[in-house]
Amino acid sequence: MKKIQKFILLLAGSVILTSCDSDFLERYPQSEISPQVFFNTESDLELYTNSFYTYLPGNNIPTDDFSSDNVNVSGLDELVAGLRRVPSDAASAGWTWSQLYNINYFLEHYDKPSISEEARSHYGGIARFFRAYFYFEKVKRFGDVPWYGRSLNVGDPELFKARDSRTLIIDSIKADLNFAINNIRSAKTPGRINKWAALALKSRVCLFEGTFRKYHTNLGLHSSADALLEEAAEAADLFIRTSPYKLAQGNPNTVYLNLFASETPHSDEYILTRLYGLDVNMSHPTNDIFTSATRGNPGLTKSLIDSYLLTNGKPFSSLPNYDELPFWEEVKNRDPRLAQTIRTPGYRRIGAPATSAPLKPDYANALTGYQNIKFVSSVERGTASYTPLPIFRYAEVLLNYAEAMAELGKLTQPEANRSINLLRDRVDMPRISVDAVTADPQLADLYNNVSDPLILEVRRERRVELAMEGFRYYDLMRWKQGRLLAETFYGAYFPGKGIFDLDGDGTDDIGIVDTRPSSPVSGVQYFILGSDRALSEGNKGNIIIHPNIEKVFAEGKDYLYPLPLNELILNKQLNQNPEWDDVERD
Amino acid sequence: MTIKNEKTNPKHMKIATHDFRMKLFNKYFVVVALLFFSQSLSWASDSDPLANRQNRIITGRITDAATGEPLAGAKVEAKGLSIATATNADGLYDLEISSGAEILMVSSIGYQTSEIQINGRSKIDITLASDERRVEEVIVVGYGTQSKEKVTGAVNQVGAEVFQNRPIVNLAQGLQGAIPNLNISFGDGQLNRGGNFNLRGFTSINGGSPLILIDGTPGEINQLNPEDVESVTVLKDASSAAIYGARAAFGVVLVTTKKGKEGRPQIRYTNNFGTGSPIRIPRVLLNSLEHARIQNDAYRGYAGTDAPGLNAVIDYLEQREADPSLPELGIDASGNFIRGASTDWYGEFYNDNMPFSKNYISISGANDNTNYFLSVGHEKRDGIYRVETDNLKKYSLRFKLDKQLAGWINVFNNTELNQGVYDTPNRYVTDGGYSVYRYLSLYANPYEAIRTANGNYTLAGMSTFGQMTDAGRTIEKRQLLKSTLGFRTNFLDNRLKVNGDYTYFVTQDRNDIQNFRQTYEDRNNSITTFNGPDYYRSSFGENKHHIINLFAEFEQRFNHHNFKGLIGYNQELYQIDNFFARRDGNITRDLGSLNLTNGIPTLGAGKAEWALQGYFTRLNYDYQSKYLVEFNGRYDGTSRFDRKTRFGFFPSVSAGWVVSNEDFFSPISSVVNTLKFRGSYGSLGNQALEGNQLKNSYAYISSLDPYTLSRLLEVGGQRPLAVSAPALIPFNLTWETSTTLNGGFDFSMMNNRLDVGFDYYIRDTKDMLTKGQQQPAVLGATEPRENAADLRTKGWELSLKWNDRFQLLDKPFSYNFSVVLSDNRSHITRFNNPNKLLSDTYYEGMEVGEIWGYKTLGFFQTDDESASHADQSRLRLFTGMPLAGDIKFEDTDGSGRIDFGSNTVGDPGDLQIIGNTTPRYAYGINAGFNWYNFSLDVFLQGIGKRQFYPGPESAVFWGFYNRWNQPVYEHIAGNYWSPENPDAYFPRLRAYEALSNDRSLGATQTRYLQDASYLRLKNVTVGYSLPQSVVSKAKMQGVSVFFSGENLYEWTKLSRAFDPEGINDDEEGGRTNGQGFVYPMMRTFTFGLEINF
Repeated sequence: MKKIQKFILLLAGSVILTSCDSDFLERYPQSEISPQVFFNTESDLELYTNSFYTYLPGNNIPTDDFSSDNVNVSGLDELVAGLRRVPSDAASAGWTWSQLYNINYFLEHYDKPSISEEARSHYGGIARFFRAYFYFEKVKRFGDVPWYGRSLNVGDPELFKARDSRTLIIDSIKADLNFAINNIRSAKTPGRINKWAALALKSRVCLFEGTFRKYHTNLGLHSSADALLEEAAEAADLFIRTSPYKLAQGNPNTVYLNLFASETPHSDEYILTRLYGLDVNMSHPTNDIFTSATRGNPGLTKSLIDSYLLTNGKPFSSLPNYDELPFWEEVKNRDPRLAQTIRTPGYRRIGAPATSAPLKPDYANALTGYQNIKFVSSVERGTASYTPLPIFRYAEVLLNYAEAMAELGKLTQPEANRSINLLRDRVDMPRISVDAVTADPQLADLYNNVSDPLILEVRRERRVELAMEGFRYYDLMRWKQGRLLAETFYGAYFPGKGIFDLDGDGTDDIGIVDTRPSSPVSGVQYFILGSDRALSEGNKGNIIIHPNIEKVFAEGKDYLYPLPLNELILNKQLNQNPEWDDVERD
Repeated sequence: MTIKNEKTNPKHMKIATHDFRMKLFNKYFVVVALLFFSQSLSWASDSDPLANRQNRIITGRITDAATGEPLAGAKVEAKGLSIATATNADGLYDLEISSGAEILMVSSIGYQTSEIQINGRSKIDITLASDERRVEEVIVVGYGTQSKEKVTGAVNQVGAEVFQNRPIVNLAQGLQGAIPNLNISFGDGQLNRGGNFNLRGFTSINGGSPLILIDGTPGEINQLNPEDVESVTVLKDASSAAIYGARAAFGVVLVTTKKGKEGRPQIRYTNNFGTGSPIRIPRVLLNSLEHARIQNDAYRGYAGTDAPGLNAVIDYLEQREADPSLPELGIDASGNFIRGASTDWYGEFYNDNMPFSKNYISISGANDNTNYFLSVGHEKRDGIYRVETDNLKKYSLRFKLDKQLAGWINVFNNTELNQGVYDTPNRYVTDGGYSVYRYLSLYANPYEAIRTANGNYTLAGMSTFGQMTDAGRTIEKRQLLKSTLGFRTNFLDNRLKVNGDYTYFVTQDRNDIQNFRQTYEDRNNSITTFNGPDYYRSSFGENKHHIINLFAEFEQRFNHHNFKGLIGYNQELYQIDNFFARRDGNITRDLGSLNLTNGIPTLGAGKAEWALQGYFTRLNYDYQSKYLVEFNGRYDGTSRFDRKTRFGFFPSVSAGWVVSNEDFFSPISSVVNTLKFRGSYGSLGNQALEGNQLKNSYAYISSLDPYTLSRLLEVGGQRPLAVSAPALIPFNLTWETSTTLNGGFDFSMMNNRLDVGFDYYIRDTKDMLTKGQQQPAVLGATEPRENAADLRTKGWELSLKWNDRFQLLDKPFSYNFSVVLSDNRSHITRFNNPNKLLSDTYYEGMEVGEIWGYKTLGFFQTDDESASHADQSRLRLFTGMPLAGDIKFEDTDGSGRIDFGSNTVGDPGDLQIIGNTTPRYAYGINAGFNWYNFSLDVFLQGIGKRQFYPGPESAVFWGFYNRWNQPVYEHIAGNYWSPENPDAYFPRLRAYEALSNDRSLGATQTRYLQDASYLRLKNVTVGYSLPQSVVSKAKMQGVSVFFSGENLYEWTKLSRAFDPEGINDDEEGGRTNGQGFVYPMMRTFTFGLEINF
């Protein structure tokens, strides 16, 4: 019996052990936050909105022009070559919406009374700034897109709706931006959104859309173009009048270069900046891209170089034999920004001792012979760059203002003086004299749907001032000048094959040859012609890279990107952009 | 064999009447049996004690000679008189014999038959010695053991023989190829690399490996000292694994450690030492000039111009050829180096002598009420790097004690403590970036120098050798403590047992990384700092596991009816807790500590837990050990799902028929010794989700996860913290189930020389948690996961064993030969991919692992041939048609264009299935020979069928076809197309064609599809045991020595660029940089010594 007792005791013990804890399987997260207890303090809102900042451009800022007529690279961008294809999946098509989901989720949850009204409006404004930014990118890329003002979930019929018109999207963007302008705090914060960044974005959006509607008459929206241009001008004007920003000033021959090479953002000129830090080992590869031979060999195009005026304010094309000048003569007496954008004779990298030999354009780094130095920082940084990259800077607002006013026919001398001429003043270039402007035939040839010499000059100023900052591709799109991408890109001029001087010092620096000589001249770099490198007139002329590639720009098609195939299959209401291969639908 | 004479005792009488009472019950079964097998009849009538009163009765008890335990079902007969009976559950018998009976013959399966003179006795107890050749195998099963004969599930077991005397680091290496369909892979040869376990093929799209239990509770098999292991059992089908429920959906591996044996204390000492070398490392064309010229041509093929900087190299190499006194690195006018070295990078980088040693000692024993086992092991190993190599140190300790407190209860403790320290140079050259193997493949051009004339590293040297010597080290320390405390009881003469145990199992991982920023000489006398990280990082992770098991077993035998029942309860709590801290800026090279940094700190932490609760039961019934039935059921709950869907019930049933125990079988039993058929069916739940452990613990709960932003928002600031919207939460998350139907048979024949086992199974994995129905991208979030995919795996496994012995030159010669072979294939039977897009991971009807690709016709031999061929513009780098020497694809669908159509199964364009990455026909072959005191063991392991396509970034395969400045590997040199060599393997020299999968080499295609099947000579061991006469003089019980070689040779058609066991991506990189960038596998030679005192 004793054993039975023991057994019962044991059994009872077991039952107690196993049945006491009914909540044993209830386990909750221990290192994550539930949404119910979040969004209760201002710092919660800040924490959340921090995640939006990754949506802003960064490393790509100095290289975005690679897909435009400003730069020629060894591996031609598919955009420039007209080789875009309809992608199958959303991610490779850029048809991604996770940013919007994240923003809308915030907008649905942030508005809790425990936080001060002011703080709520501020962070709400920031979220709406980012929604506007998001949709602006989508409109630029795809044209019409569906508008979603709230976050979606599976089963929502809205997932399968058709695209909304670009007018609805632009109006919604403006509404978001107006809210942002009115509610975001206005203190200068280079890495964060402030009221002024929102205002600058508004001028950018309205200028884009105004000119887009004006020149893309096929949309049938040109009647609304002027209103948008007015809004662009208004936003820029308000900015110029009331913001604390102004242009960086200094020695006309260095101020422009130093602005972009400095490792701290210029607090007067940079409105919103992507920041990098040596301390935290966060760098971008810009130095490497423009000083090594293995990063696509970007060379600026002759067409960009030609845009720089002579120091006397006259166009380069006014020079006799302007199209047959050797490099060192070509870059002489030009807008000082040229020598602060590319290597010209006497160039030394920042930080290089004054006794060191000046650097000549390296044709292995820059295929066209025009080697970019904008954003290239001190030599001691080597290949890593820590320079802040501007997302919005004051110069753009001035240019937005001037362009909107010029397009509206309202760019008077005083208006020019308070915008575009400030940029000229800074580098000691003669001011535009509104009444005296005549059309530079080279420019008129370039922008063949514009005859107003003032608009042409504003475009010149924009191209020069904002070179290598990533504006060029979408400028061409909104001006309906996509054909410029398909034109041949030229490099430096050589009167023939042989050995030439690059810096005018009397010694030879470069050999333009068909084959590498068996006994190369010391100190001479060789540019070897071949199937992929040529001179424009055979035995002489400008360098052409990829002479055999036939570039294409289809007017009816290439202003917009294609939508991904998979999405068209998933949502039958979604239509492909014009002239992109339509897929079979069942 | 001993015989005891005793008086009839009262206990015996009681059992006899008990037998009588059960007669009715008994008869019912007899009738059932009758219907099928009339032979059974004789049994029932013979055992009726009321018949033939004139004869006398002999009674007695039959027990096992070794254990003293009663033997049930032993046959007792009067020799030559066809009078027989069988023993009952207590080993008791009574046999009525006629007066003429003189000899009693007793037999039982697995025992030697014995004959005893009756000599007029009426009580005869007999002990039977086990048949040495067929020791009754005891198979470890869930919560207990079972004789092999009665196992009805698909179970395999191996003993220490497969992992002893081998220079293995962990048990996984020893088990690879030893058990059919237990598939073990490693991925690379890194010293501390544990095996990945898989049972019976593709389990679930969420992954899922077998549950591994060590002495009954979860443990870390890769940390365990193989010397401690007694046996490893694998429970493959639903029925055998069912008792473990929620975590055993994909089988169970049971590891049992050794325990003390009755007798005097045993002391066992083993020592291994040896050396290893890396195998199948890439080989580069070592002629620098030829090398540079080929690369230059490849760049020309791509760009039409000379490669940047390469002309200077070629010029200089030519000069050096004329004037060998020139230095390896020339210096030009502006101080830049001109490369002109001749370096054998791979040869310099890898070590070919990696010493290791292992020491192990165990003390064990048992007496009346105590059983103990103590062991301690130490192991030390050097790695493959020639400079500042990696090394591994392991310590292990085990303590087992089992104490009988009283007749009915004993308590036991089983404690394991071990530690492994892996100390390695930092292998990741940039922060979170590419491994040193990737960098080696970038710089291994012979013309690159490692150091400059000033003794500094060049950029190439710094990225590889400098990384080893100067960039600091990573020290990974893993510590494990597992302790089980439990009790076992027995009541009612061992028929009822109640057992319970509690296990605390904790693993601690402490990793310390000190990483220094490096410098190199970029130009003559100019030192540049490389853009690498400089930081110190410490991390600590602790996983705690609390396990409680309580179970009761009941056993009852009524004559030939054996019942066994088990009910139990199990609960587990698993707690994850980890953090890391990192700060940039080491202020000294001499010491490493977070304290000694002054830069920007980053920290992170995570905590989670999950729990399981389960009730389980098992019922076994067998009749005369002929008909076996088993039922298992488990009711399991998990914290990972919502209350509503938390619990699941998972039943299974299995049955077996031991044909060879049937009387009708006896005519052939001399040929076929045993034959058993088995079948089982059942389902199991799986609650494990692959991926982020922290997230997956709460898959049904919406939460915000703070993370450090990878950018700055303030001038001079630090990376800020951020949170994003929570992921969409599944609506009705619940159990994934795996249902297995299993059928098999075992037989042995020719005097048990040949043993054969075969199983066939169909496993359905249902309701796999996967991405939901694909939603339009405008959703902006990943579709919430759903239990929305099904999978079916079919497979079989076969094991053959042959063993025999005979006299050879007057000495016994024994040998054995065994083969295991298995196969499995999986098909997706349900998946959310209605359009069957090939860009999605799976589609309904897909065979898991299939490779879609283009069919390669060869090369265009002329430009004209290309002009008239289909448009290949989707698979090229530049505009313009392909030229002579470029790849020519087949326009399978005749569309005039080589493309992937709409990239769906219905419209795949020119794509077709060209192979499958699933390893098929995994096999292992083992042969052992013993003669005199010598032994020889040979073990081969292989995969019969498998394909693999090298990824675009697989630079060790593609060399300069990936990027022009990557090496010309030996397998490419002289093997590329040119008008003079039109039948080469690789196309014309053209760089970058393998850089992405929309280029002519990066595109998956038949031509470069690799046959990854292999056969590897895993191990050869030669042993010698010292003669007993010598040993006993030294007061030892046994001394043996062995010499062993591991990974000695392989037969494979795979490109030399890869090791057949290392074709995937870096195991730890967290970044797919293309296959083949892995720590090489090793060949090792070992000398070993074992002494038993």
